[in-house]
Amino acid sequence: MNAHRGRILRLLPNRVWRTYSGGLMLDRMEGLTAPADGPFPEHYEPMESPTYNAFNSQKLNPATVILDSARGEFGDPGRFPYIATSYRVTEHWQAGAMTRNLPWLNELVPTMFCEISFTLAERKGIKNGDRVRIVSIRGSIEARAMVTERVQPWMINGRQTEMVGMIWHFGHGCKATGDECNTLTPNIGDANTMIPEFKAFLVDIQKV
Amino acid sequence: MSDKSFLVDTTKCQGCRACQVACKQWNGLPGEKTDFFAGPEYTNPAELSAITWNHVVFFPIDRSDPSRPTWTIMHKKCYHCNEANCLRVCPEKAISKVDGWTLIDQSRCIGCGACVNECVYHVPKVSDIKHVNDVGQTMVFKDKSHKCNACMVNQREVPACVNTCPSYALSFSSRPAIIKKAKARLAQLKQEFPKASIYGLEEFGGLRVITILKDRPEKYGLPTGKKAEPIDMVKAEEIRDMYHLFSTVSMGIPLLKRAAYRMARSMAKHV
Repeated sequence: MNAHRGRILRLLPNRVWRTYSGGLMLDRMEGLTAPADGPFPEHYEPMESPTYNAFNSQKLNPATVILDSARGEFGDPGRFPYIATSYRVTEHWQAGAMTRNLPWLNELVPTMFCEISFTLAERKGIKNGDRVRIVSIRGSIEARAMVTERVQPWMINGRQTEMVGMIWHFGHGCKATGDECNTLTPNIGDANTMIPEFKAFLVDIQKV
Repeated sequence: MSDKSFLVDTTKCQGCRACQVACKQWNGLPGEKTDFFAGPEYTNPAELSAITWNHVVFFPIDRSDPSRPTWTIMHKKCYHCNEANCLRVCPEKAISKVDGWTLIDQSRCIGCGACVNECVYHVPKVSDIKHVNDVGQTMVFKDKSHKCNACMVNQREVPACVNTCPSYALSFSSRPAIIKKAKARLAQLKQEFPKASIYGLEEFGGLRVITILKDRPEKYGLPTGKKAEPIDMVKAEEIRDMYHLFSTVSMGIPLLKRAAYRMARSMAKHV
């Protein structure tokens, strides 16, 4: 138990956050007089965000590692005005290597699709079932558009912002194929664990 | 088994469509070739067919009360009417009641489309393909009518759709128990959805599939009142007689048989 504590405390102070009392106790055990807690839980915007951080002046988590190779590939909200996110559906599993070979499941979700609101569809002239091209600074994919009431525009810091939601089960191979959503996602990780920040990024959408 | 019924609680359905897949797996049915979602929201394929015996319909989300949008998802299959239209009009008596379930005997079916035309729920469908399952049994016959058989052909204790339902939206029990359960659930629901209703108690002499709905049945395209009365026996006889007259010239060709039935039906209406 004590050995574990020592190891945790050897991490850089600004790379970890702990509970306040717990942090104090652990710091005393290591012989530090002043508390060396990391940043407290705080709201930061994703790397690609259409708005500013309303909670503090720092937009992105300062402990995030941005690789030099990825530094130039983040889009700005002027060119890519819509929020994008990716998710799953019950009919497919992960990248679909198993489920996209089953005809019964392909019957239910046969192709790559994205979901957009009625207001965005009207502005872009997209109808339900149309082929659309979704573009981010890192790549572009083609998908079918589902225009639905379930997706609604967000009110973010006083501005109406549209969202494009898409599934990420599709790719090459298997019986049902489609473009990969992860062509669009940013190469940046979460500050503590480097889990890819794939669920919040910026795109543009056009009718094909 | 004789008085069993299904209960479909649309308020519990989460739209996973496991019932649709389980039905196809148990009955050895092929998947349909689809291109995109065919109906509103995730509905796919668009409707029941000879190879899709049960089907999940997604209704567009209702935002009339902005603080609480409601989304209804309904499981649809053959309702197994007690006084079934399809059974009454079938010219070859291929449709019969077994333990209260309406079953189609494909060896007697001639594919005339009588049941397809008369079912107000658009349930039976004449197949245009033949499908043989993995062990060599023919599951779907070409030019024969097919629909849900409540897992009475490939028999099992609890039908496949009910057995697989993860949210207990489907249940299967004796009819009095199901009706009691439905009424208890409706009383609960009335507080949340004042217009909630039970469908299937009186229609066609009582349906074997009782559905609990969040709103009036008409809103979900389900016929009620006059529209849900079984076809007149006299009229059914007339159609059958007329069909037998016309079918002599159809020479067993399915397309002509279907045309003959449609002719017989329109003639009988004028009589």
